[in-house]
Amino acid sequence: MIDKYLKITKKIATACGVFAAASIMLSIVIVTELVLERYIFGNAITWQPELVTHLLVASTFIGSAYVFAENGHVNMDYFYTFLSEKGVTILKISTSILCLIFFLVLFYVSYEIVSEAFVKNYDTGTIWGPPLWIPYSSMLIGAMLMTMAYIGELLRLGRRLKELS
Amino acid sequence: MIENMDPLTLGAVVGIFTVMILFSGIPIAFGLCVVSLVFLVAAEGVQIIEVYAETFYSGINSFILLSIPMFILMGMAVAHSPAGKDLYTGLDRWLWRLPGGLVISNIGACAVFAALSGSSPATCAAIGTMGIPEMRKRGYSARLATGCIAAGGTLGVLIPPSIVLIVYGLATGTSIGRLFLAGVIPGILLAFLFMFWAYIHAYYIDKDSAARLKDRTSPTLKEKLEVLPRILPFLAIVAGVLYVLYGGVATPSEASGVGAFLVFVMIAVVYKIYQPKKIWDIVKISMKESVMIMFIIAASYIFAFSLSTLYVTQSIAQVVVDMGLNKWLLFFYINIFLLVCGFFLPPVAVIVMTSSILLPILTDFGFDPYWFAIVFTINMEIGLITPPVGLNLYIIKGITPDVSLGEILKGSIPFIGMMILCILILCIFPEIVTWLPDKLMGKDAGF
Repeated sequence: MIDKYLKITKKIATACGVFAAASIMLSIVIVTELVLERYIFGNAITWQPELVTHLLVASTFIGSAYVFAENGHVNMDYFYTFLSEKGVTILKISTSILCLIFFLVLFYVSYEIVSEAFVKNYDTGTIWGPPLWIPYSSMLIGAMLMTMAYIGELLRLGRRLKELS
Repeated sequence: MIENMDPLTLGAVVGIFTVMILFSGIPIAFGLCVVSLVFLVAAEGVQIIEVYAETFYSGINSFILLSIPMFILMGMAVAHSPAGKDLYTGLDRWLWRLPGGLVISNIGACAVFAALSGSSPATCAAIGTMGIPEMRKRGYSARLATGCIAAGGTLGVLIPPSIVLIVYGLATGTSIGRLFLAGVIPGILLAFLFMFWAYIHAYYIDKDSAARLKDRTSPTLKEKLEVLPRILPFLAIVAGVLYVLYGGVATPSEASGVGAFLVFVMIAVVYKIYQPKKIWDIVKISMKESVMIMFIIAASYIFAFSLSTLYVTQSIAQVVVDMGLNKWLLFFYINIFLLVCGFFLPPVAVIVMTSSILLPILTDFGFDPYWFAIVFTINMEIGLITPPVGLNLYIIKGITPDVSLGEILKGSIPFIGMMILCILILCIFPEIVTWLPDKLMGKDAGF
């Protein structure tokens, strides 16, 4: 059961990585188009800076689950060398619970923000003005993915602790 | 309880709590988010969490920040192509005659590669992989060979385009173009100081090896020229990106976006790297780095916001100003503080977390924010080659498993001395930083 869950979260994390990388690649193309449009053809710029900014935010929030799966978020683990494996596992469980609470709170608040923006039909307030709930939902999706990732991490660590005890 | 605390005591409590949380091994970005959330809710009540989430979001919702993934992509594309090898070969062939030539050309290669890649670890890995075995083969000691690359790699955060300076510009509202210009001469000065030490070490400490270095045959002119067509286009792209930035022609995001596009075109043309798998590998590794940095920026932003909401930032600034410290004594303390932060935290986190506290104090004491940015960055460079974080030390250790970490650190220590010397020189002659931006952009431009 745990293995199945971990396998699914890993697959989702990989999909997030693909999305985040594709967003960044797409940003290069859009920025190049923007520069041509502005400096070569002398046209006014409307949607490009806003779209790439939303892509950047989306790649950060959604890509975070992938970076987490790849152990890419930097941390200060110097004290791990002074602890036994069991001690490290307990410490990791404690910090994972803190992170899980944080992402649950962020998920809840993001949901409130997104639903408010959706119901009240807010837009981003720019010339282009796409619906505000779309960019905000990247935070919601990111928080949800990280919540899932930390649940998986806690299941994995709990099992490890059981083996060590 | 918290709402009755005076801001300074609260600041101390937040500080201690933050250190404890971060040392627990929690990812730095998430740790900062947790600390900010706990203290904001404790002080302002649960209703603050909506503002918290919106502030967290707005921390990265900026077009200027796009320059970070774009510059990372530019750098990674160069680092994952044979450009590093060509650059290294080219400089070695051109500089072979210099005393201590190979070490000096390695530091030079680090400086140029740093400008291309903007990344300290990428520079260490790219130049170190070729340079260290070559230097050791030619008789230089392991200590000098590893130390010079560890130190040379740090030039990546000072010589433009530098991610650290972009984040400083965003956090303090200073001009990124002007910051980049301010980093040029100090970057070259630091590279020369490193070369100076390399020369001293090669000729006065490693005396035996110096004798062995004399019997090298001169490379032919053909050998010298053949590598140029491959590396010049990359140098031209970086020069072009920096030119449009300084000239105010385009914004950093636009310039870096087009720069990244051109670098991808160049690696396809020069090195035939266009296969989807290879491109994907470059994008994937850049995305990982970019997401990690962006998350730290968002977290540090919310951390700075919570300190400001709790009135801690303003109180610390006020107390420091009221203490009536001597300007340079204050500067000394700030440097020590930054050095300690740099030992443990990544540069971008230190910048976003501390700049809101430090900048008002420093401007109040009459320090130039651009000059300070460079001193700040050199402090962060020191953190890259000192334990426990010392990213460059571990990268060098990965390249040369037979050299102990202690030996690499011993090799790096004199270069740390050179960085401190550079800070002292910049204190005595601040014009080294301000002259170039003043000359090219005018004294008041860019604010």
